[in-house]
Amino acid sequence: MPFAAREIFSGSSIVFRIPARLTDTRLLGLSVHSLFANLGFDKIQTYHLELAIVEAANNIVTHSYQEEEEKYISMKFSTTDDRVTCTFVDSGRFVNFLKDNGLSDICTASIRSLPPSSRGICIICDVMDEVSYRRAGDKNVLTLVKYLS
Amino acid sequence: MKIKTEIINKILVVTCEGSRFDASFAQDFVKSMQYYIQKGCLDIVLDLSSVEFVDSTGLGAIVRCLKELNGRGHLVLCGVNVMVLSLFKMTHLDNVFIQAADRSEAFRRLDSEKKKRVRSPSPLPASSRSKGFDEALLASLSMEGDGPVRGRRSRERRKYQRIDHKQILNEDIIFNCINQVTGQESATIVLDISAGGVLMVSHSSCSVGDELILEGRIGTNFKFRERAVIRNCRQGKYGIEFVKPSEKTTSFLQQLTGAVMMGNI
Repeated sequence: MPFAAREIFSGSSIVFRIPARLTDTRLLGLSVHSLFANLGFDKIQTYHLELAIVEAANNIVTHSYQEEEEKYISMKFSTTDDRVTCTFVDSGRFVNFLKDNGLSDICTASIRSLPPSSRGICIICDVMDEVSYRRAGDKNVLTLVKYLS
Repeated sequence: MKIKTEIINKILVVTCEGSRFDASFAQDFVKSMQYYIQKGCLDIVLDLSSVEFVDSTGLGAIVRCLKELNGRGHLVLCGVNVMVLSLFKMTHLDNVFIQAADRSEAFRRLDSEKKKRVRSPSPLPASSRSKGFDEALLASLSMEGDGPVRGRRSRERRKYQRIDHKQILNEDIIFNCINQVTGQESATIVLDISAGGVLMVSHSSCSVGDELILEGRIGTNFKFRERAVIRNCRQGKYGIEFVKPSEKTTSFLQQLTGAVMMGNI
């Protein structure tokens, strides 16, 4: 993408904190949408990146917090010259939802055997250039990286 | 996000009103669709014209709706925007959903899908066919049940009209067949089925009058085990009549096949 199109400077960062509820992950999605658009990603790339962020947040709500009340997700959005990094931190259970690396069998010939879920991780792994998930102290840290060129 | 539903020419038209079809709406959507499908609305147009964002949960809700239909009807998506379409492609669902540009095309697509369904039940993919059967033999058989369900033949001698199994199930029905005369045990594929009997193809040679025990599953859940007798045999196909089938089997098969009674025999 052309450097001139970027309206966010390298080294910028912003931290979001949202309630860990499926109804609120869209707040994160809508916010990062404009950030990615201002970094020069096209409409479809921006949609995919927003999607990956929402999927990551949804997974934290459903897997780490298992939809418990009164929990929060923090996400730091930061840029460098060559990448955008989105770092999610939560204090729920460490459930390594990346263990299959998004390779679960979502492509099947028969509608009967199509799984209605399990596509979120595939989407994250497909869209982002780097994905990692680790335990740091009593927190879980999920890091998604997208290269800028 | 909310949905608006209307029935147009016996087709349920569901319009999503809102731009985000995501986790906050997916459950409500599935519940509504289950309600309508259970009420018998099996041909559905889902209008996504106003939707700009679908996440995996929203996608899952549409897949769930498709699965709920279970081949009994059709779901056509219309007005899918380029971004949502890119998600379908990413998740390899672009070829699973029937899509149309707008409502009028969706109605036309539904109409042609319905006609296709009546003309010829969709052939099973080769990979889902059971192994061990001579494909050439299966292909060469011209079956009584081929093509659409026809009216009663003037000299029909059966109690129930037999239905090509592909018109009621996506998968082959395979029975284990124990011949009580020869003691032979073999797998058989059911071609046509009714509450009174089956037309099946088998590799093991049997004779008219042989008594059999047929056992297996129909669909996922129904366990089947009945006594039967071979009434006729032609080119590897056997016409089998159930002997005193259980009420459970009769009632299940009547429901499954639509139980077309052929008259008093």
